[in-house]
Amino acid sequence: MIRISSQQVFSGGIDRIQDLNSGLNKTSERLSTGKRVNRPSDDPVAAARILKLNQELGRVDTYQRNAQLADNRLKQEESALGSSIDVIQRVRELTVQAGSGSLSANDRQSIASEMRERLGQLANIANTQDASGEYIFSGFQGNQQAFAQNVSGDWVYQGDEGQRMLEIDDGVTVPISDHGRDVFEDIPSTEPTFIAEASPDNAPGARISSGAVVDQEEFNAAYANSKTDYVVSIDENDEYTITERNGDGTALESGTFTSGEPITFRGMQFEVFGDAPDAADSPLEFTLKTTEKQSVFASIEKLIYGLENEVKGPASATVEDFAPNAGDVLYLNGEALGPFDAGNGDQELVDAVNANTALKEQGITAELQGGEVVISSEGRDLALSAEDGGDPPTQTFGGPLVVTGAKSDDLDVVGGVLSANFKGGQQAYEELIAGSLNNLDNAQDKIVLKQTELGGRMNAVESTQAFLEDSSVYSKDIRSQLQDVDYAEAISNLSFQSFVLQAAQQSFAKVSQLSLFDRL
Amino acid sequence: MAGLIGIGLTGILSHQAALNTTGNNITNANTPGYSRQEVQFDTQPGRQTGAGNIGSGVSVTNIRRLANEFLTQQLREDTTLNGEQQALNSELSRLDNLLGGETTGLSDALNNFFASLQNAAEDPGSLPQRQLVMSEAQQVVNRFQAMNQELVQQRESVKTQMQQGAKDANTLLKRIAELNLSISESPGLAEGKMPNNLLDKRDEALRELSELVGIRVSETEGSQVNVSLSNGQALVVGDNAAQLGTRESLDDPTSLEFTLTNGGRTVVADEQISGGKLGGLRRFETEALKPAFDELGRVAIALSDTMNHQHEIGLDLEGELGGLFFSDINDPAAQRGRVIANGDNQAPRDAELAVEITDSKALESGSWTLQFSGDGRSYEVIDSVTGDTVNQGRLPDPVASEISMPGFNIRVESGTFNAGDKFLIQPTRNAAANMNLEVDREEDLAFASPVRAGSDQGNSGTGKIDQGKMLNVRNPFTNSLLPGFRSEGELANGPLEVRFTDDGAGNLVFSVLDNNGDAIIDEKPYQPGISNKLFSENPRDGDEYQGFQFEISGNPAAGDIFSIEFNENGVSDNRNAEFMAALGTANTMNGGTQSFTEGYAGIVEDVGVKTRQSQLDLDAGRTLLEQSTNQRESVSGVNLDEEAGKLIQFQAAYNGSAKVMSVAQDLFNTLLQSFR
Repeated sequence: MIRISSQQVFSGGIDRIQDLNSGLNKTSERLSTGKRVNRPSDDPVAAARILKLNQELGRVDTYQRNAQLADNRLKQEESALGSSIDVIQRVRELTVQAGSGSLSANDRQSIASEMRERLGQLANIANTQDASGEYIFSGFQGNQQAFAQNVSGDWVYQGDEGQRMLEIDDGVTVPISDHGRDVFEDIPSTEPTFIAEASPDNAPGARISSGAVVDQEEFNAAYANSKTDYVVSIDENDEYTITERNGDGTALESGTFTSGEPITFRGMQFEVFGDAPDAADSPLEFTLKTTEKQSVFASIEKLIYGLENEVKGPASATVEDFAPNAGDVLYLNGEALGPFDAGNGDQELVDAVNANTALKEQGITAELQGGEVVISSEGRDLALSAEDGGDPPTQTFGGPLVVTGAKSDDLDVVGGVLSANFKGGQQAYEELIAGSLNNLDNAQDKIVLKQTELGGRMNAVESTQAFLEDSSVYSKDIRSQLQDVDYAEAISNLSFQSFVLQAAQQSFAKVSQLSLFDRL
Repeated sequence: MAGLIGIGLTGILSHQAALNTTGNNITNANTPGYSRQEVQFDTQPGRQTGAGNIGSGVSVTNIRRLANEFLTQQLREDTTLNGEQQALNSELSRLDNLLGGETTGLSDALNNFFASLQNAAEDPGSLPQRQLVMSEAQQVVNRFQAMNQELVQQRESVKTQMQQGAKDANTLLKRIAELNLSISESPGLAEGKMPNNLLDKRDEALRELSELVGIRVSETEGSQVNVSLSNGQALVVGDNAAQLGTRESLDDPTSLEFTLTNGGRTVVADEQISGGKLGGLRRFETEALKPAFDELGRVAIALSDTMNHQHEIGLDLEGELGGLFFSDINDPAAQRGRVIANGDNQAPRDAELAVEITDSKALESGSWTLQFSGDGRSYEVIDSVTGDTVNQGRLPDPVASEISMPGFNIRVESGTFNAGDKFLIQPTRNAAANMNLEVDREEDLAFASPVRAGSDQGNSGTGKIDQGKMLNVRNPFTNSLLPGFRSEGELANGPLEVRFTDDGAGNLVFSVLDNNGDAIIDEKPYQPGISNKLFSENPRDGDEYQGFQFEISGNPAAGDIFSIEFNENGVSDNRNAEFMAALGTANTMNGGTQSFTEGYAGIVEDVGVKTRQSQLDLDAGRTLLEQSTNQRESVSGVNLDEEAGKLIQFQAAYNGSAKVMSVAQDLFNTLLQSFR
């Protein structure tokens, strides 16, 4: 039999009640916080996992917010693109309208002025700003208006090729912006064209006009041969030199520079404005970038230019210095003129043109003006050539012949170029309309493509959102399993513990009352 | 008759003593350390008669103290264990609550900070979003500092408890020595009459001492005890008590070490203090508190380092490079603060040492001792926890050199080193306290990247250039700015031009030209169909390493040009913000296996496991203590019922003895009357 001291009876009872109390307290803490793990030591492994899950949930939360924001941005961009398609569609309708033959010059003017409005509208759309005032199509330079008018009044892109990405899940990023270059500028054009740019190192004041391809055939032929870009440099001697941009520096053409005077080179025509540099300074440099792309703004600007300026006038070519060899034949729109005798002159050429019935039916006539032969066509182009057009061509004109026209280099048979086209107004106009429609369609296609891409992105965002939602639920579930108290169990624990405590209290009260001294 | 009276008288006297003893037992039922006593009766030597031996009453031979030295010893040991566990558990619980609390811990602040970066990336130009990032970053810094402060406070509280404990122990040691003296001088000792209450007092003092520290008790002549620490270092010898003290540790001035002064000689007794409250506090400091400091510092260093690097290679709203985000981890003052010279080092004590963090990814937490030997040039680096030598070598002449360790370098700059000189190396200890937010305006947050790429409008091929990735603005070997980033607000050697040409044999090659037209990269072949990296990513590659990387894919044509330029005005660029936000989940610690949160969760888990373990140990220790207490009580404790019984028993015997005297008187009277 073990002896029990009276101290043990009391301290043991009190200790036991203490233990029960602290257990009860723990259960009640779990019940009141709803958590099974209130401090890491309650379950260290679970506590570390809970930290990780909390982080995971926080992250999912952030990603959900990001996905929502990405969706908003994509929607804004999509709506801007939608409006731009509407504008382009309206411009297209106007273009079709302008193509109708029965329009007067005034009608064309009014169409042009509406187009100008639409152009401004399109520029506004391209300059859409987001809620915080940033231009959404400017790439990284949100403070910079995406498109602005340069000195010549053309809308040009000011931003860069930056694209903003947003992470909407671990490792899942979605582009939330597109740069204007991609959407509005990199649009395939019907014909190759060029972009004239001044080097940023040039002295201030020097600028180059946007220029135009005045002889598409010649330009195309040069472009097909080499897609190289060109550099125009102007030195202190008032001399301009054109070289290949990536070439060895061989001068392809040079001449005297006069500010504002058109320079024509391989079918391109442009004007350079400004003063020739001082001897101490480096030469002014301008780049001519040949390309098969044209911005939608340039397409519309060109169209407006055509509508406003392109007069449906006759095409004409001026023949100077006509001195055929004996038996020489010239071809005009495929009709043979001649053979001429040696010593024949301008009058014979005039007669030969006017005598040709086929040409007469096309409305092509010739006359002597100030000692030169001027050949005019009312509607159609003039194609004057010194060869028969056969394969291989046979040169049938041997004498010197110099022809000038509004849109051509001189045709110098002896010099080697054997044919030249002189565009008649109507045909050029029709080609402009047809080309513009094509360009506008290309622009629309490009934007629709972008819209499709946006749709794809929005789908991706949506499915990511759904996934995030799922994983959030899942993580919460696991966290709850690790962290949350099982109420049924905790409550039954609580009532059991309080029952035991009561029993312990009662038995303590009973036992502590027992004393032999009471009986004495 | 006179004999009978004598016999009755011995009964009366003896039982009076027994009643007194019982009364004493009853009244001391609640006195701590009291051992019940009982009276030992013996028969008086009898009178030899012809008829045999006639007894002459009872006598009290001894008042016995019921105590078992073995049980007392057991109780002391269990008390020591329980004291240690109790101190350890109470300190660990405090740390556990600090680290794990939702508001006191670090994880919420970290999560919020990275979430704010993620959100700001959506609209990088927005000042309110930037403001939020700033305040969340400040919150992270605050948490680090506050936690560090809490740890410091706990360290101070542990130190105070140690000092107090040492004082308490001294009082007890002195008392034990005095009791030893009193006991040895107590009369009757030679006859085996023990001074019972002195013994009780001494046992109680020993028990109280064993609560503070583990001791060994051995009995010597004159019923004195000698008390020593568990390894044998004497605390009390006879009536002589040693003095336990504390002082600033020579190794690490932030902590205390125990000293023992005996006869005017002071020795360090730090290693010998084990068990009890003092041992528990020591264990807490070395096993939980210091590692927590180091780990917290490691997270702070990793966070500062990676954020700083990413922020430095970014571009702020005003077109300037990002610079520091948090404090520079390799600030000269911080570098020096990681080395503490031992207080015992010999003159001239002019050594200049610094610790530079070289790779926060590889950095481990912990502390090391750099110890010199031989002629003062041979050194060893010793892991403070395991005691293993992890590195050794010789310093060159002159001494300027670097000792390379995983993640950090110990830089020996100058000074004289003597054999036996020691330096404590703590790469991460103060990092959390030194952390600060260096960005002070919202505009200075570098959310953009300093470079961007563009393609020339005259390009005829289908080649596409990506927007690139920044690697560094500094050369990691020289730490000087790379050529492109030497002047603010521009790419100094740019814009760079990537030109595609034909090499003459029909192969497409590209060159990268700087703003003077000089080739940085000359005619490198281009492989169509895959993504072609333009630059080298190895900083040793001279010009081919520019600190950034761009890739071109698709089919560019000869004559195509791409440009790489300074990201001027790039206010909507969020590339760097995305990279910074991504660091929140990137595995940037522990050799690339842990994120910041995981690194922190590691501390939480570690402390949690230790706390839980100590909880279990404490429960076990308490049960053991309870058992040994019960065992002692069952021998030495007072049971009132038992004493009541004895009271009745002795009272009856007393009454009986009185009756014997009364009978003797009656007999005497009867005899007298018969002679009347």
